[in-house]
This record gives sequence, structure tokens and C-alpha cells, in this order.
Amino acid sequence: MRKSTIKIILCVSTLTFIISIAFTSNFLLINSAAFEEEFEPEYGPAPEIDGELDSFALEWDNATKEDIEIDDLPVEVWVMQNSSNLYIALQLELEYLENDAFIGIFISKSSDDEDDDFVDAKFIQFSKLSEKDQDYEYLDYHIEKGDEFKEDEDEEGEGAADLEDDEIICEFSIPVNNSETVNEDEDVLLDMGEEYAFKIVYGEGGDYDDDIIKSDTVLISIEYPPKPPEPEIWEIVLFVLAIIAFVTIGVFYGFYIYKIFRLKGKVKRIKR
Amino acid sequence: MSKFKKESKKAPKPKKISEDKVSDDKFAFRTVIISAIIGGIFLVLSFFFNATDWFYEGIIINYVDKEVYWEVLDISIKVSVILLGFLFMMISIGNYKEITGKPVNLKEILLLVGLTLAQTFRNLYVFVFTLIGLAVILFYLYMVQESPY
Repeated sequence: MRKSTIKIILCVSTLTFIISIAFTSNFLLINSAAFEEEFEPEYGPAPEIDGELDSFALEWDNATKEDIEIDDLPVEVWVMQNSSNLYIALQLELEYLENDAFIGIFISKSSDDEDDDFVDAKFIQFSKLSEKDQDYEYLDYHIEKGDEFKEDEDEEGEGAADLEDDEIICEFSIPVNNSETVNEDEDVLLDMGEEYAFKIVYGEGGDYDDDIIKSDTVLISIEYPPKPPEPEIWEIVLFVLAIIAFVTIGVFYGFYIYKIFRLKGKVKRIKR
Repeated sequence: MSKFKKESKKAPKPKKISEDKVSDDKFAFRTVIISAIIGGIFLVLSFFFNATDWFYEGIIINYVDKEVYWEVLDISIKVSVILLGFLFMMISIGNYKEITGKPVNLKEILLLVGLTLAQTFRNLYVFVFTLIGLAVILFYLYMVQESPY
């Protein structure tokens, strides 16, 4: 083979290698930069939205769990679903406790995560967090023009929290696929088979426009209910055989009862 | 005058059935009917537990979390229902045959065993344990039967 041919082959293969590396890394960058995590929640029995830490692990056993960081704050995110609600639980540890703090979930009307796309917000607003008589309140807001927070007239969903030492658990339930109860001016109607961006926020204070100090976005796919598995052919055959067997037994049983009564009649006649 | 005395034809005296015999028959009939009814109830239960899809996964498991011990209990219930059905039908048929004066023959026993095993088609564990149970019951009945010799 001539030297020039070898050079051309080497050049082409090197170029191909560089292009493929560049393309792959670019693809990975595009996909990894958008969302901290993507969730495809499993279906499971509805957890009680009561903020009870004791029953938490058991109730959320079926949930899809991921550890994420909203900015530098580690958060465990638990997501699960049933045919009527999406359930999200957030578990985080705070280094210090401010008196007023909030944890919230902003919901985008699609999988886009620009500020204007988030139109619905659910908050757990804590008060007197560092004191003994700490309290919290679940609030349902809608967001106008990307940064104007207005409280909903009709509160949708549920939220509850529990605080033990510096560990906080927040549980949210958000209605899914329910156009009858969801007011679309105030809440996002989550459709099955669609993906939505959810922004998880943590803030200190009570002013939602300015007090958000940490936030990150995850993508949650609202799943259709799982289809029951199709029965296999041998299961159908066994089922049919079992039915035939029981029908046969029933016929024999009926015939036997008939014979008993005939014999009873015969014996009575003989006795007479 | 005839040499031979004419035998007078008398109508045969009706056999008097003793009170004990009547009482035995009554008792045997009651046993036949009651055992057949109880056997029928177990047959209906067996139909629901072993043939329909309602209890295909299990009986108790429908209401509790799936655990091995609940599965074992479910299989035990299914097997017990089938075996009790077999036992009561065997008692009923045995007494029926006693009234008719014939013994239960091998064909009838095999038919009853076959129909009992046919109820276990859908579950291998139920089949195996029912087979063992049937062997034990038949062995027991063979041992306790009256020997003709």
C-alpha cells in the first residue's frame, strides 16, 4: 500500500474519531444540563399525606427515590403515582434553622423549564422553625409572568411536613388527569403520558418572589396505569380444563343426588 | 283320596323388619344425605378457590401483603377443602353402597380420585399436596375397612 493512501486513511479515521467524540460529549452535555434528575414514577398505594416520619419509609416503599442536590443542599426526592395523584416527598437536612422558611414545588405547564413556564406553586411554609412550638402551613399559589405569586382561590392537592432535629420531611400530593376539579387558571392539569418540569425550591422568609435561596429542576413523567399482564396460553388452557373438570364433577354430583333420592323412594316402597 | 297330601299354598308371611334394621337404614340414609350435602359445599368452595380467577393468587393474600407464610396457608386451605370434599363424598358413597348391599368397587374409587385431582389443575403445589393427602386417606380407609376373611 502506498504511503499517501495510509496517510489518507489515518486522517479520515482520526477525523471521524474526533467528530464522534465531539458529537457524543455535546449530546451528553445538552441532556445532562437540563434537569438534575428525570423520574418515571412507579404506581403504588396512596401514602398518607400526614408528615409522619415513623410511617414514612413504609408508605413510600414503592416510590422512585433519587438523591439530588439543589445547589449545594442534598435532598432525597421520592416520587410515586396512582391513577388520581402524583406524590412527591422531599427529605433534607438543614444546617441551621431559620424562624420562617419554606419548601416549595413549582410546576411547569410542559417539560420546558424557563421561568415563564412555571405557573403553579405548592409550598410548605414553616413558622417558628427554630422554636419548640414550630408550625407549618400548606399553601397553593399560581405564578403570573414568571415571578408574581398569587394564592389560589381553590386550594388543590395536599401537603404536610415533619421536623425531627434538623431533618425535614415534606409530603405533597398533586391531582393527576382530573379536568373536573383542577382550575386551569390556577393549577397545571397534569396529563398522563406527558412530561413536566418541577422546580424544587428552598427559601428563608415568606416572600416567594425574593426569598428563594436554593432551587433545582427535575423532570417527572406522568405515567399511564400499568397494564395487567396478558395471561399465557398454558394458563388459559389450564383454566378451561379446570372449568370442564368442575362442570363434569357437578354433573356427577347432580346424578348422585338423584340416585340417592331414587334409592330412598325404593326403600320406602319396600318397607310398605 | 289322594295319596299325597296336597300342599296347601300359603301366601309367604311378610318378613318383619326389625326395629334395629329400620333404625340402621334411617341412620345410613341420614349419613348419605348429610355427607353428600357437606361434600357439595366443599365442592362449591373448591370451585371458587381452585377454578375461578378471584382466588387464583391466593385467598388470604388478596387482603394482606404477599409473604411466604400466607402463601403456604393459602395452599393448605385449598388442599384441605379438596380433601374434605373427597372424604365426605367417600363417606356418602360408602354408606349409599352399604344400603344397596354392594361394596364400593375400585372403579368408583378411581373415578372419585380422578375427579378430586381434576380440581387441582391450576396449581402444581395444590396438585402435589392433594395427591399426598389422597394417598394418606385411601391408605387409612383401606386399613380400617372390615376384612371379609
